[in-house]
Amino acid sequence: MAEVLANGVRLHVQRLGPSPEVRPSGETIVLIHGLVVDDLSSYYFTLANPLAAAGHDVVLYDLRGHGHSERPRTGYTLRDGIADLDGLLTALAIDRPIHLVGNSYGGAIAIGMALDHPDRVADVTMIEGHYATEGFGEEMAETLRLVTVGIQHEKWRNWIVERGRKTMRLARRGVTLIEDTSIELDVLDMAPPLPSALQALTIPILAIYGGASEVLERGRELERLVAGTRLIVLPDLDHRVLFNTAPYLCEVLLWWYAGHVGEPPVFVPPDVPFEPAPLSRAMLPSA
Amino acid sequence: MRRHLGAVIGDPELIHTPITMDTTFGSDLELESIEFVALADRLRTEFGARVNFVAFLSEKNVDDMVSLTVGDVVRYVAECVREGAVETKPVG
Repeated sequence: MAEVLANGVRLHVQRLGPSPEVRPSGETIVLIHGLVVDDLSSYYFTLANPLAAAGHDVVLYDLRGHGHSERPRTGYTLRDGIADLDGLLTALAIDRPIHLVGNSYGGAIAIGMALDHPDRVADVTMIEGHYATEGFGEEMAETLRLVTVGIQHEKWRNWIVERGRKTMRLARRGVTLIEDTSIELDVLDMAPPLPSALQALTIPILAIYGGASEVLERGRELERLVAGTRLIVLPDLDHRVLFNTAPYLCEVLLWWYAGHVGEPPVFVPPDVPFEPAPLSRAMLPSA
Repeated sequence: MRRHLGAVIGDPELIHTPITMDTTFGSDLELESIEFVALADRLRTEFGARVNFVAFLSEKNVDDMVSLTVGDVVRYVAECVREGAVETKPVG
């Protein structure tokens, strides 16, 4: 396991490729995962290897408190996340502009990085990506509360038990992160970027969102505000785009990094229905 | 393989599970995805780029992953090492 000290925190990092059989593209892609019940493995067995096989240098890391990275008690604001990524790039001696991919909350770090360190970022891909907007901190805090409440909830608990001890361990680890650290308070501490700051972004943005996702509006707003945004909406999909459509995402990313000429690959929904997300806000007890 | 698995299995209740060639990573060892990452990392460190466990797993769907056995991985590693040995054998 590769550990890198970045911004004072030990981060678990995996770096793949480029494959020896292909000519290196010279481009570095950094993949940023989502919050709490996520880690770098979401990318490791899905997008990372095809991107490395195409000649790219692919960097994956566990956010602080997640996966195999160190879990300090504090330091979970969006600013900390951006500083961790900046520190990681410095520690890895990556000084050329990189391509960022952010899934869910990872999108907020990617956009924040592009705003705060524009010289470091070549482009951003948002997979159901959030970014700081008015009320986003409260929304994230509510989602964290949903995790801790959800594990007590009979319906969700049964869903976890049916999937075995592995899923139960994952859920418990998420609850521990929330209970043992300042993350629930820290997510509230974020100022949304001004629309003018977003409008000033000159980098290309690839925004991929599910048509049935609660987050889709973020993609539409990016398309309105940032001139270089290419929005792809996948019909009927909810927030779990990465989980449900990884092979298609590989195709789209390879098209994107090959210069995104013409139209993106066509999305063909699989025959089997998508598994709906187990959690919903309806599970939260009313205030 | 037993040594590598002992190092990556996170659940203390499972660490003493007997490991045979038929032991499954899914239902027997209940390996989490991040533990698979650690296993892939250890195999890469020991055998180098000739054992691309990530590529091996990338070709598998969810059902394949659940039923994957220790024997499947041992055979895959042995095949990679054998092919690597043939490729690097000096000519003449």
